[in-house]
Amino acid sequence: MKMVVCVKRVPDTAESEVHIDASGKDIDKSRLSFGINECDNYAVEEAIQIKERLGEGTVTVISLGDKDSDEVIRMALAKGGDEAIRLEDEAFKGGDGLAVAKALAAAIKGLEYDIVFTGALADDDGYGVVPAALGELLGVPHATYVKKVEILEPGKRAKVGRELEGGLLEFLEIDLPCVLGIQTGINEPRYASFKGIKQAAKKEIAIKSAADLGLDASEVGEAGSWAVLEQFTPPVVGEMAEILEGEPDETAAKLAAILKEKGLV
Amino acid sequence: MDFMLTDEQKLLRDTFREFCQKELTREYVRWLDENCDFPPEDLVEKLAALGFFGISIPEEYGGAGAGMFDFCVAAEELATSSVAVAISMGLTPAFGGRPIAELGTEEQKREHLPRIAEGKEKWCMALTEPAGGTDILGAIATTAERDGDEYVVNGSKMFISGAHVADYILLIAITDKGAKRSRGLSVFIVDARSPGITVNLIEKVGIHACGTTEIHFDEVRVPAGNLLGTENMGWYHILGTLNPERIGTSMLSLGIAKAAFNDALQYAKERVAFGKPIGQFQVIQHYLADIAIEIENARNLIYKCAWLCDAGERYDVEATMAKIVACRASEKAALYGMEIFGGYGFTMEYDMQRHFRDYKQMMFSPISDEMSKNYIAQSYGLPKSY
Repeated sequence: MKMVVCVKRVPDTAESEVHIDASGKDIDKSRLSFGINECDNYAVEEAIQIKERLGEGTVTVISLGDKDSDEVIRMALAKGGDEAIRLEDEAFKGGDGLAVAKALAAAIKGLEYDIVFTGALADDDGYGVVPAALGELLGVPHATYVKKVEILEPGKRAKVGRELEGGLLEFLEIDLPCVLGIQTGINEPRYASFKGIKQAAKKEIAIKSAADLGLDASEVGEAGSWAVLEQFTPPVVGEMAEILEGEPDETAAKLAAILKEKGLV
Repeated sequence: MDFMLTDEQKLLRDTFREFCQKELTREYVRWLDENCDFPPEDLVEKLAALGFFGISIPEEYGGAGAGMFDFCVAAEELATSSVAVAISMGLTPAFGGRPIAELGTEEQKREHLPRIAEGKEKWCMALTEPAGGTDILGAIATTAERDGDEYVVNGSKMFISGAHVADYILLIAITDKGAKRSRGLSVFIVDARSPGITVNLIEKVGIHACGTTEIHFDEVRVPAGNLLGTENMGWYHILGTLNPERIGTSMLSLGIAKAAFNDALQYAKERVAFGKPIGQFQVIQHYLADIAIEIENARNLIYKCAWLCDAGERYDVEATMAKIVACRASEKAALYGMEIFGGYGFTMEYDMQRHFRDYKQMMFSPISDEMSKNYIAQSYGLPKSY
């Protein structure tokens, strides 16, 4: 089976202070560390595990981004990916989920594939658009928030479990080729081995521009987007918000009183 | 000059960083310190899967064939998360992998190196003796006397890390009593389960999860084929192990310094006094800046040594300097860290007490500051002062 995994390099904002930069359209990333988008890490692992279970197949890693994205691509190669493509062009910049999906679709159309994996959601913009848009653009079935994948017939059919509210799994059979948006927790992502890292360093990453993919600059990036980012603003303290002040025991008592008053406890 | 890591080294660092974040959590490291005299086997297996034990082992023997620099990149992450894990897991590459790769016969290499790379052998080094660690040559009394196809070992070794779990002991013993000591020592591969070997754990103040032991050898028979390198050239052989060891132990101190710094920085941002976080007070900022400067200095010197080592240049003096600089950084971080934490630093509730206990071992292990300075001064042409 031929599998493609789309990965994105994102800033790690979980334990960092986030500040809006001077442009107002981005956060200041100068002191942040970066890594693979969390869902994408599970997607890479799922593709590699399927290849290992079937004892055959290839995993191609694709990322849209500048040279810095090579580090997440190489990490995926070090874990067991076979080939890699990076989409880089000034024209790709500022694109929404749909514009990103257009570029990815153009690259994937040129490949043989049975399953395209993406993460269900990006940690940075959180649109969750790419898997569905990619499926539509490629004209193949798609499912997202996927937490279980079973290959019923390689190259033909798969059974996938989608995670719904409360951890409920919705199982569906899906024809291949398809696009699957992978949810965290589907597997236990491995660590790359040092040998894998050394081998990955020797692999070539094919770079493709918009023109290489047969795309016009007007179709991708900000120009090809339906939604264009206007600005970031920090959350404003609204009228309904009440900030409790004082020593911890005082604030805890106040909070308890409010919760009781509202009948929440 | 290029201070940038290669792409490969960045991936190595990221992998070990991710591993440490997930596997060596604060709670786990605390549990190790309170309950273990060596990390459990499942952690050894996980590190083996990452290729940690084989980083410096040649590719033809199942390793990655990388150098000291790459080893340092991985070790820095481990040491920052848990110095006990870094030291315990570093024993086998340092005292098994490297000496065998450098001195071993083809047979010895084939027997041990692939197993070391897979994490299936544990090693320790038995050099120091009860009579002294600084006067290392003068204190050695353990003998290995030839008897047919075997050597018979008698004596005691002191302050040996990890012998209680080791499969093999890299032993340094006298094989020519009549010769000048530096020309009468040999190195042996000793099966740690040989009859006549007794290992006792020594209770200590810090680095609990990497137990320190004493070993007694009573008529222990070692096959002659287990001699490593040339007979009576052991001192010169072992120098090839002690210099890289010095880089490794510097990295351990750096790890303690970084861990104490990170904890102190976080606390300084959170702890409020006089209406604001204590990190806004200049005295606390200066404490933190002082630690940060020493960490940066130590880090640069350690990586320079690793780079010299990989380039095949001499680095013994620099590594001895790195040892001192890194130890000082850990000392400053632990002492200032305690100051920043105030009374809470002295409680068992926070980890600063562990850094404070741990750094002390590295101050004299494997060599004291004073002896280090003797070597450094001597390297500038001054007479031997000890």
